[in-house]
Amino acid sequence: MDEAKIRRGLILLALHTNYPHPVRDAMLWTQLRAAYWGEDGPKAYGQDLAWLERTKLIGRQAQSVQGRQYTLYSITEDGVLVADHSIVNPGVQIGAEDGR
Amino acid sequence: MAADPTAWAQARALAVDEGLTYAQVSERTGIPVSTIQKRASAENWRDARKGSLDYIEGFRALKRRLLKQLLETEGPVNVQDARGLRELEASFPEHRYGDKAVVTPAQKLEVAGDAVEAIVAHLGDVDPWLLGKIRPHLDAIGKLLEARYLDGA
Repeated sequence: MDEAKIRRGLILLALHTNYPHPVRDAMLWTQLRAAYWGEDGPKAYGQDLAWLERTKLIGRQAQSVQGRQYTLYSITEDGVLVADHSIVNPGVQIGAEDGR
Repeated sequence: MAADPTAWAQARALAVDEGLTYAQVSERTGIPVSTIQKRASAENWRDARKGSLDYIEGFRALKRRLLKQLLETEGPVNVQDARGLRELEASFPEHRYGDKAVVTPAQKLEVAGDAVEAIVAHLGDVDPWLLGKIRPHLDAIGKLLEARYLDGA
C-alpha cells in the first residue's frame, strides 16, 4: 500500500465531486489535510499536486478576486476517467486497495 | 405534485452521501420510489455514490496503513504518526462511516455540524467579510439542523 498513491486518489476524488468546476487550493487543503499528517504534510501535498498536474490528471489556474490571488485546481477529463475507475493509473489508488 | 428542488437535493444527499436505498429515501422525502429511480438514472447517482464510498475508503486505507505502521515499528512511538492517526480518526471516525446501518440522528447532526465548521474555517481563510455576514445566522442554522435530525428521531 503506497500512501502517496492513496493521497493522490483522494485529491482526484475531491476534485471529481466538483467537476467541471475548479476548487480553491485552500478549500482542497482543508478537505484533505487529515491525510497529510506530520511536518512534511504540506510538502507532500504540494508534491502530490505537482505529480497530478505533470501527468495531466488535474489542471491549475490562477484567479484574482478583489486584488487577492487564489490558486484553483480542477480535474481533467483523463482524471475523471481515473476517478471513476474507467482507466487505471499505476500512480493513483482510488478507493480500497482491493478495488472495492 | 412535483418535488421541489430542496427535496431533490435532500434525496440526492441521502442516496449518494449516506448510501440509503431508494426506498429509504422515498420514506424520508415523500418522493415516490419510481420517480427517484428515474432521476437517479438520468443524473447518474450511482457513479456519484461510488465516488463518495471510494473517498471514505481512501481515508480508511490510510488509517489502516498508519495503524499497522505504529503497531509494527519497534522502539519509541513516532509522535507525528500517532497524531496523524488521531486526526484521521477525528476526521473520518469509524462509528460514522464504518456501518451506515447504525448511523444515529445524533451522528448525522455531528456530521452536519462538522460541515458547517468546515465552511466557517474556509471562509475565515479566504473571505472574512462573507463570514462576518454569515456568523449572525449560525445559531439559527444550528437550531434548524437540530430540528431536522433530532426532533424527528
